[in-house]
Amino acid sequence: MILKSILIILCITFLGITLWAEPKSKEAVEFVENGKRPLSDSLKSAAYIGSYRRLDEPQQDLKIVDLYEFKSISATKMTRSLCDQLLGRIFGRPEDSGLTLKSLALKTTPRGLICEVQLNDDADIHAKIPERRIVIGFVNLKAHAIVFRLLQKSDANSQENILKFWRSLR
Amino acid sequence: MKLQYLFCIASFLFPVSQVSSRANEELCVSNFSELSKNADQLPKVMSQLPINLWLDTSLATAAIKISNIGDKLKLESVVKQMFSSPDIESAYIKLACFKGNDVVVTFSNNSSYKLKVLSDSNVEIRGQSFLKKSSTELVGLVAKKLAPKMETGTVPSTLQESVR
Repeated sequence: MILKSILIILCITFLGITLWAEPKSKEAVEFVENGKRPLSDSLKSAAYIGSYRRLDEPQQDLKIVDLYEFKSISATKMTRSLCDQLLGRIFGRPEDSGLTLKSLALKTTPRGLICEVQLNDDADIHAKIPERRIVIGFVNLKAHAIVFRLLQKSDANSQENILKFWRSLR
Repeated sequence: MKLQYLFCIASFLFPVSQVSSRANEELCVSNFSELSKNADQLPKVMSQLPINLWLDTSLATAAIKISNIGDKLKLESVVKQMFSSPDIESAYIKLACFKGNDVVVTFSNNSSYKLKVLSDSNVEIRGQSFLKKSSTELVGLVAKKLAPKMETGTVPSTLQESVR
């Protein structure tokens, strides 16, 4: 009886830690929590929780991945309206963000619907970050987004690479 | 009654007295036109764009540029902290509020940056004192100290151009 109780407590603790912590990647990554780089983190929204550094990714542009977690989202399925709402929680209202929505598509993956977004900084021809690619979906029952800040426009390979990283999250 | 008229006319003719009393009042601008219009009421270091700021300590090296893209205001930063790679970030500014020497810059996503003007050439951000630089100086410093070690990008020449 005591052993059973201990097992249940351990199980609940493990589940709690898993749900509370950031999603883990199957790739080799290092996770830098929000606040560790205060000067850069200050520009990010309240939903930002940290960034992954992909240790084995050779392409420099795809090495750093920002992670956002959205609390108090009761939905469990991605929709166009939810995608718009969560995008606003990362970048603000479209009219304020200065970024141009180039594409937004809902895609089916083995782990449910995701929203794949491309935002360009078209207004600034010298923009350091001309393109941002975002994937929004659910991991561990929580709504999350990953954001890639690209220093050059993406191609089919880098777009697939970004989806591959999303699929690696558990 | 005549005295009231006199006050009325005087306040119309001498708005300067109102401006000087604004030193402790909050002044907020949301775009380049508003910033230019109120430039004479802003701290000197913040009154003309682009504002190029540079930090180089043993803990962090950082370049920050506030400029206008059309009528919008934008902040770009390249930050390299100890034991980490340079990190490039940018955001458009929704509102910049000035009160005395304190400046609060609010971005489109409602995050904010607090700055404190220390002098005509120094600004404090998160306890770090940044030096004001010319665009040419900042381009040189970024190229020398940040661009060659870029991890988030492979195109230092683009970065250098964008800092101009």
